[in-house]
Amino acid sequence: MGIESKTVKKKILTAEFYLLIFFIALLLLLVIIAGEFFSLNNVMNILNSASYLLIGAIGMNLIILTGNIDVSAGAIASVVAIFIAFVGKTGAPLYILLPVAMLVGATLSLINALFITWLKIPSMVATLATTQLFSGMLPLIVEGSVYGLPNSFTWLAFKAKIFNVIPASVLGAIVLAIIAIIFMKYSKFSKKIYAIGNDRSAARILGLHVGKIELSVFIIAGALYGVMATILATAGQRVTTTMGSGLEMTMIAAVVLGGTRISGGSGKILGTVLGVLILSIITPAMNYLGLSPDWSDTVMGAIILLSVIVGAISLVKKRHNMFDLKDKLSRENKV
Amino acid sequence: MCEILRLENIVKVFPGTIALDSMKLSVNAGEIHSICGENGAGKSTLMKIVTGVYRPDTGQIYLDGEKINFNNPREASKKGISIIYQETSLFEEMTILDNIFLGDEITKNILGIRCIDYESMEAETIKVFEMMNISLDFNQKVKSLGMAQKQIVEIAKALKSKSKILILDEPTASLTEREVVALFKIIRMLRDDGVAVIYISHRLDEIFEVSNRVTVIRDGKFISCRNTSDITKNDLVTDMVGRSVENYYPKFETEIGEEIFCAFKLNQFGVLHDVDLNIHAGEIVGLSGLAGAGRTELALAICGFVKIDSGEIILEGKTRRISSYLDAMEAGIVYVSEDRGKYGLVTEMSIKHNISMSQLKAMKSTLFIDNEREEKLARKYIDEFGIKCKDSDLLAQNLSGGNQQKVSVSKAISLSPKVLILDEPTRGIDINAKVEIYNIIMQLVKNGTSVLMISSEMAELIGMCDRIYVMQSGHIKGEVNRVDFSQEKLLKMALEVE
Repeated sequence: MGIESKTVKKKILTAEFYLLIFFIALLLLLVIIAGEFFSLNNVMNILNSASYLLIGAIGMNLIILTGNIDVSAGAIASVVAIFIAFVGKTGAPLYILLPVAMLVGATLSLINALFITWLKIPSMVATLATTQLFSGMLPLIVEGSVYGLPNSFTWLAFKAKIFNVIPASVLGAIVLAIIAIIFMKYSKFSKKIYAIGNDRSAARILGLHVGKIELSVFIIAGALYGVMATILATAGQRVTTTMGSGLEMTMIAAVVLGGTRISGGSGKILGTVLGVLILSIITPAMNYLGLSPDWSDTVMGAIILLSVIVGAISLVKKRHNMFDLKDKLSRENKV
Repeated sequence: MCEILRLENIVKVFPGTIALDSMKLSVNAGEIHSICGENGAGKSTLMKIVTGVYRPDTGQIYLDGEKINFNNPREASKKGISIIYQETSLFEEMTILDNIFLGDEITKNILGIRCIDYESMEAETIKVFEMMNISLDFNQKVKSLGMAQKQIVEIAKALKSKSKILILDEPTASLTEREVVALFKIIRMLRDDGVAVIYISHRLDEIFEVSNRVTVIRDGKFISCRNTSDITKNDLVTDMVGRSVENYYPKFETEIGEEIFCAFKLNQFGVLHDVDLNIHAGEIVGLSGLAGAGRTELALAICGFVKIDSGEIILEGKTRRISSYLDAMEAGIVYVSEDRGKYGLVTEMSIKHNISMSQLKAMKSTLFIDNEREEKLARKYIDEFGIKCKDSDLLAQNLSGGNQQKVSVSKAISLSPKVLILDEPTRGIDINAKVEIYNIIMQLVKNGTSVLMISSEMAELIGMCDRIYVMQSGHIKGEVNRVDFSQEKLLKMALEVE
């Protein structure tokens, strides 16, 4: 009986639990310090931005779990936004814009994946390059922005409300998050994602198609970026060429804040949800308190840096030896 | 007991060496079958062929009487062959349950979608654990397990996939005595259940304690397969060694001077235990032992790559503090790694740049590196050692293994060391190049340098050294003088026989 209660305790006092406590504490702090901050408008805005951030962050989470990273997510979102702006000018409604966005997002992400799986370019390098590629080509196509978009375009932001006040994007985010959580627990595919992030070569020896799995993960993430871009783009009658710029940093920060290791192999969607919630109130709170937006960039950077450091420290803890032990053992096993 | 695995006429060749030469193997179901052989005998290659990592160049493999071909490890494991290496290949951040079922999860249909059926998987895991008489919380992450427990998880994994053949590669290397007892209990239970257990180990005591039969291989060839009840440890050693020593070692008498180097009671927690070793001027001292004995670790400790916990290093009568490789080099100790591609050379750089790399200061004239000086230095060694190249600008990666090793050694020698430590100096090199390296070594000692030679080739040590230390599990087991050299003696010391 003693063992059972221990595991039950273990199941509640997880990292996600502490994150929830932290979020609630932050919330309470804000309520006390700046109660007027929580106007209906502000809260709905925060919910909306948390929603599109979460949708994109779920995709980023999957990519990071495989041991990769994607710094081009923001650039992809920008391209998708401009693309559906052009489509939206024709008066196309949301049920056309959304699939198109997902398709374009998936395609751009596929380009990343091909660099990484076919040409074996490290994901950091590949996505840095495609960031420039994707965001660089936009000013060539559009001068500044696409404007004068019709009502059909902005339907999601202005008209689609639950109980007349909550943005529909919130519903989308909740549904996607639930699907993601169930998927990551109950699908065979998710186990393969974790395995690859843990030990690629062991996964390969086990017979897993590492390349195929990475490709799939990037495509899924790309589609999710597309959804995120749709929510972003349809927020107004004008879509600029830099709508998604910098979003990847926030997404990555949310993912690592939520407990996913930057090197991959472990992490939960629920953690990312909490990470997104926390970050979603930090940024507008800082704005409200008069701090410049650059401070929020600094906070994002600090969060990412801290999680990388924590990860690195746990690696150094393993007995430090100049010559890799695994190296040595594999050499001795050579013949 | 019927035969479950049969290998016939297996040949596997790698560039420069014949790893397996008409190898044969026969393993029965329901037996524990040990495979014994020195470093480099071919055990690892043989197991890689059985588990589908390599394909044999020629030869046949029969599983349960049926001829088979494995294209990859997955096919072999699907046919019921599992292997557990010393370094387990579990996924650290995933749970025991996940690891046991990875790639093969039990699923059930919910609303038309295939979902992982955790209840069934847990039930089956409990059954397997009961069979093995162990209890572990299978929802904990593997990273929180000790080595012995990780091995148990790997065995459970093999059991769950109904393995017919379980290969254990040096399983007891990192286990305590109690854990070894527990492991043997499990292995015997597996055997009684009809599983064929292939047990690879250097520990003769264990081989005799737990196995039914033992196959000895040497130099890639099958030597013998006998019941452990019919033989003694000495018989095994004789089989493992039994070759004649080739006499192509260009050894001649040199003047051996005073003691120039002494390692006194070196200790490194868990790795080296009270190691005492000395070297005289102009002497070639050999360091022998089997894989895992601690030879390279000793060299790394002497050279300051890894910290020692206690002990002294005395050079020319003076105790030296060596806390980094720079200290070692300044003291006159230079190390040449066995992995020349990784640690000996920069393969993308030229011969000239490689050789001058360790003494760039001496290559400087005012602010810049003097190309003429570099060229001269490189020329010296190219001519002296016969490095086959058109000119010193040739990239190191374009050299043969033997010539690469010469460059590696030149780099070390250009520092005029007092003690040169060579780790497996002729590994992966053809006979002619080997002789050339031996000649270089003899030149060195003639000029007063001392050499500490680590090698897995006993013949090489016997041919070249004046004295040989034998190591085992981080201890110096013994010291043998040239007059008393014999392969059997060295191997017995390494295996702790008698």
